[in-house]
Amino acid sequence: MWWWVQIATASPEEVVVVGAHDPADPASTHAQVTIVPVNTLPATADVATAVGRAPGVVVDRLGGLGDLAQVGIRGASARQVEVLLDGIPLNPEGGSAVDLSHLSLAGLGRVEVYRGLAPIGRGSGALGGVVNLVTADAGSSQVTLSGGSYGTARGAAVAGGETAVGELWGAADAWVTQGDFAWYDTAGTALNAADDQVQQRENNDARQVNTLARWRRGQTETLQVTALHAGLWRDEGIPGFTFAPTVDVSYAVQRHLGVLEATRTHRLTRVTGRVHGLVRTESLRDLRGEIGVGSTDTTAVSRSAGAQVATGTVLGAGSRLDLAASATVDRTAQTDHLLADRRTPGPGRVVGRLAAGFATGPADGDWVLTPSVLGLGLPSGALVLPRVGGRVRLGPSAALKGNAGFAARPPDLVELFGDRGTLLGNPDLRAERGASVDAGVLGWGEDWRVEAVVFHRGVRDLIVFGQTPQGVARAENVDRVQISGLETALAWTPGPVEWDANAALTAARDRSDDPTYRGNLLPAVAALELGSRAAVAYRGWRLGTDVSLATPTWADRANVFAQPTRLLWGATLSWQRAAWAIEADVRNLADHIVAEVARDPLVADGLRVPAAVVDLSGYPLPGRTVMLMLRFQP
Amino acid sequence: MSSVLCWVWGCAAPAPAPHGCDLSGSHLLVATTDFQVGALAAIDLQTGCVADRLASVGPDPLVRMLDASVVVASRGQGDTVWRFDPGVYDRPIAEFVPQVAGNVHDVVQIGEALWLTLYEEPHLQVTDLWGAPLGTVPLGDHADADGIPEADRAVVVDGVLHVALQRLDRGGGGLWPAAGPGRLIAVDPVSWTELGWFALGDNPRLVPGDPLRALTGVFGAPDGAEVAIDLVAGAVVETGLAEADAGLDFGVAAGGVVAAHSFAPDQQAFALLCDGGAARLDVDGWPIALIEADGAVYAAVRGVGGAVISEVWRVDPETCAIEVVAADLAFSPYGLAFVRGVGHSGP
Repeated sequence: MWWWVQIATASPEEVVVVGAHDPADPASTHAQVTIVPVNTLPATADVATAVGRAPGVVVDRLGGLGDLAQVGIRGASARQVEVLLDGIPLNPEGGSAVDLSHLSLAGLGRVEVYRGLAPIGRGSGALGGVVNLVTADAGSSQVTLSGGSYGTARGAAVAGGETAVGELWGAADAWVTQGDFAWYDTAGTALNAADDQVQQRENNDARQVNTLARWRRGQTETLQVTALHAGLWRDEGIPGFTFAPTVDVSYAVQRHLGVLEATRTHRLTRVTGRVHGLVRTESLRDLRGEIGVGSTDTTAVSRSAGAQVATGTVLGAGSRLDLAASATVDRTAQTDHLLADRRTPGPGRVVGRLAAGFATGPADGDWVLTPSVLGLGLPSGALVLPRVGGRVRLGPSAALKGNAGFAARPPDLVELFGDRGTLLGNPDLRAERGASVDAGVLGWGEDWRVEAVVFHRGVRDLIVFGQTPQGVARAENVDRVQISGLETALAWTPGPVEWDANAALTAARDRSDDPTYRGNLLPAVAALELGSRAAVAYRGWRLGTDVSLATPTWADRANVFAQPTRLLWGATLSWQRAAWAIEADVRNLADHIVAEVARDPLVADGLRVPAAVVDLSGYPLPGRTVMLMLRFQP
Repeated sequence: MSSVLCWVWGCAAPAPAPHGCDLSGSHLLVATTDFQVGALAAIDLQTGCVADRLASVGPDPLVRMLDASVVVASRGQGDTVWRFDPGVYDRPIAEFVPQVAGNVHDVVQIGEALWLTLYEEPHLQVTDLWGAPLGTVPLGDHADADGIPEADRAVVVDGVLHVALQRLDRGGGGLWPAAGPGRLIAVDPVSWTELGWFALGDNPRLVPGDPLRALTGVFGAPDGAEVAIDLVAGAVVETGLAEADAGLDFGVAAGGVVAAHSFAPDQQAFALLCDGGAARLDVDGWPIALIEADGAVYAAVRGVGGAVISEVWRVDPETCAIEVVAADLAFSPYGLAFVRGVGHSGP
């Protein structure tokens, strides 16, 4: 069995419940966190939309509605970002990236985006940051029906209330899309515009059902018991790259997450115990070998189970002590239906955490200091990762926050043991390690809020897959990166007008030894990203517009091919009366699907040619997308 | 100031510097790649002048010298084929996609037609020199159960096209096992008919020369050898150096030099074997391609596991002594073609 042990002193602000910070108030924690209330998002919004509202966050999508979406924070890769549901990690295999399109906003109250070093109380030593999805209160009930472009239809319902057996609450979200949007096809010949044409995306249909169910009984002062189940059923076509669209590749996934939690408060101590189990079944079928090397028909089943006990005790004015212990077991088995072969790629992995924390500060809470240390035990050696966070209030409407410390990402099961396909594992891999520091100022008033944060982060021993013969890649620790940046956010809501904006300046540099890459900018990280939303409300009507801008990014580590500037506009018009609301939402208002790019950036002929507007790895983005929504919220 | 603007607004790739090499004569054309970006480089073998980053060509590039032009096939991010005038690589004279996701493994010119082997298809593709399709020659009868015969290297001997079919089992996991012996088929390029075939051992990779040779054996197992082929007899007539003797997999060969490797996790190793195995040189880099040119053997060598090696070597086929003729190429070398200076034939 492969063991992974973490020993940490936790950040009491986040673990202790007694006297804890307001989870919806970024000013009450030292962490650099953005809180996105779900009820402020437009009809077409998904979890990726919500996460993308935070400065310094990049969401890479494979195309349109419901297609793969992964989040990177502060230039970190998606694997370096951990995604939690009510604090339970969703990252498969203990370290792989979460596809945000597998999650639903229905039933969520808010999305918390922690940038950089997240509080250890969030259960993570993630290098890039943490996204925590928080389920809504039981009192929120609504029914939503929507439909629009590309054969998309969606229905969602949330309901709950007190019953004789306790509080029952549930949410369900089902959607289907054909995904047959138009995209610009150059037919692989950049010099020959005569064979270019606009094609419809094929094999891009998808269906998905998400459910959330929660039962809660009792009060924390005596004993409160909570049970939660989160389900996912999805199947879809995998449309392939623009240069090799597919006809018959499909993917299906089912996921069940179950959590049982008990909490009791006695005098100044709160004790919480929690167990969880997660089962995820994924099937990939590519009998023609359209996307991989050779035919594929596999089913992978990942299982994760864990238990956690946490206590928090108020020791006196301004001081708290927290203790927590947890363990998680991950295991994956894969069946190759073409070989009638069932294999477990490698041994499972146990993640253990021990946390003890102490916070100190004055009784009035004007400042707090939260030192902590994270200890990691790996087959390749032990790591000690100290960190410290602090917050100082500057009067009634401003605060300074800062964090410094170390983080790490253990190699996941695929990186360690391969996938029995084109990826070979490497059991000798070291964890990716990083050091991070940030400092920011937060100001707020009745109708405004402003935030500015500078950060710097270095990561070494990045894990990449290096090529070996016959198209097979093997995981290796090879590279280093350094990332610096400035994140800003501003919100202003004078009367019927709402305006908010965020911006991030990021310099993400490759510091590897290879002269081809040394000093280059990291791919897919824009130097400047801007997002802005404005709306005006009048007598039940609300008209809003939004814009997002990302400056050119590199598509490759060598900084040869540049993705052009991406500027996307959206608009929303809604009308609400009593419990009813109607909303029309338009994305990519300008129907921007073609861009001009250099024919060959290595040749100084200045020749520019049209190309599809694409995202992550060459998947085209959809053009103008219209959705209509009807909502009933008693 | 410009660097600040570049940082904020993003920037284009730096304009390539003039290389100053005269590529109008014979030279070695090098396909280089980091598996994200592929590029062409060239080495003037007379002066040693190296011209790097001449043009981008896809992350899995194949280079071949045709009768009077150079062909480059991109695999991995599209299946575009470009044809260049020798020495003029900043703009192709032809650009076409023979078949989407076809995975071109070789291109030979016979008269005014291009014959392409497609690793993902059960047929040979034939086009004119500008890419217009002329037809196909079916190979489905040679396929194993997965329906694909894995057509690899092609050579023309005495006007007959010979194509090696590797016949691998695509359902067999990461390193495909052999589904049975590979085959060498003969095709009449005039009548487009198959003239015959014979078994050639597992996973054959042809080594052009006289006599025609091949390397056999699947990767990851010491089961192969270098063999000599008698095309008249239609048989393997001599089995030379064996993988079992070298303790390594054979990757590529040319001019009497065999490049061997092992990617086993606990014994990664690379070696050059010369003079029928009498000489052996263990090396740090991965010699991924070999070519015989102007009486010498050249090797494209790349680093593995984070090692930064990006070189082209001249190899003495008797002693395995090496001489570095190009180093520090922007991307590691991946394929080689010897280009004869023949003047331009553009439209």
